[in-house]
Amino acid sequence: MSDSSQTLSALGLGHIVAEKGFKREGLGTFADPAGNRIAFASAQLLRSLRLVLDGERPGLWRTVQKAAGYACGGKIARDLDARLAGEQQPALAALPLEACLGFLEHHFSGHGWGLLTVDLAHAAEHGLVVARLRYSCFAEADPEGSDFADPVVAGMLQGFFEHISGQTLGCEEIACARRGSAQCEFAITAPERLATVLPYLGREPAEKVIARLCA
Amino acid sequence: MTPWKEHHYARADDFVRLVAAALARAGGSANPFVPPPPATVNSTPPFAASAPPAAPPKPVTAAALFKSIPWKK
Repeated sequence: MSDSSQTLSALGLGHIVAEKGFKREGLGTFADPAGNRIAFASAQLLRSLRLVLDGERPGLWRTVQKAAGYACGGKIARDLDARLAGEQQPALAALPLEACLGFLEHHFSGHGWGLLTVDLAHAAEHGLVVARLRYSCFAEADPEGSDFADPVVAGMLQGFFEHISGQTLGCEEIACARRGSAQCEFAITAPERLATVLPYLGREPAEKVIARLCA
Repeated sequence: MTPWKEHHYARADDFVRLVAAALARAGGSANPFVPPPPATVNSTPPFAASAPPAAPPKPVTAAALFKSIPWKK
């Protein structure tokens, strides 16, 4: 059992993350344990959509993916809040930090998006949270693009952490498995600070970008 | 018959021995005639028994932590 699972079990919330798998709702439709509709997309479909959207307007795929992820991240947090309220439990933000992040990590792995870890080492001093995703399904499904593969994940993290923190935040992918990194990495901080490192994304390794944000 | 002074000294000598023995039994107690309770396996020093147990640290909530982060630095 992972650390976050143990924390959630100790708080009496283990049954929420123990719910796994998707259930068939009707003809050709599936839902996750929270009742959200699930859409399965093949790697060919994802690649085709990217090519069509970017063919219409360069960069449109990334914009659409990030916006969709942002909406999804906020909904993940609101759904969890509603579930906790239904069980007379504290809201997500009022839970111990480990439990809150445990829910997010389980949501990612449960949906097959990858193994997420959140690094708070630079948070207290530099106002920077770094998230890392191993085995990103987006990088694996569409390995050919020239840019980073996970704008939808960046949007999800932005939406989730905005909900928890109550602050306007930004999130950018700073390293990607599609570009040869061991894992995908994301920087979460104030949008105006992220804007200062945008010219370096994809040109410098993640450590250098993090160093710029911590300088 | 023992002279009274000699008898007195003998009793005083006994008294000194008695006090010394009581002090040794008491192990430095304030009252040398009240020996300390016998040591047991579970006995603890008085200062340790009076110290309150340390409370476990309260977990930081996600809201408190994220509110404390200097996002704009």
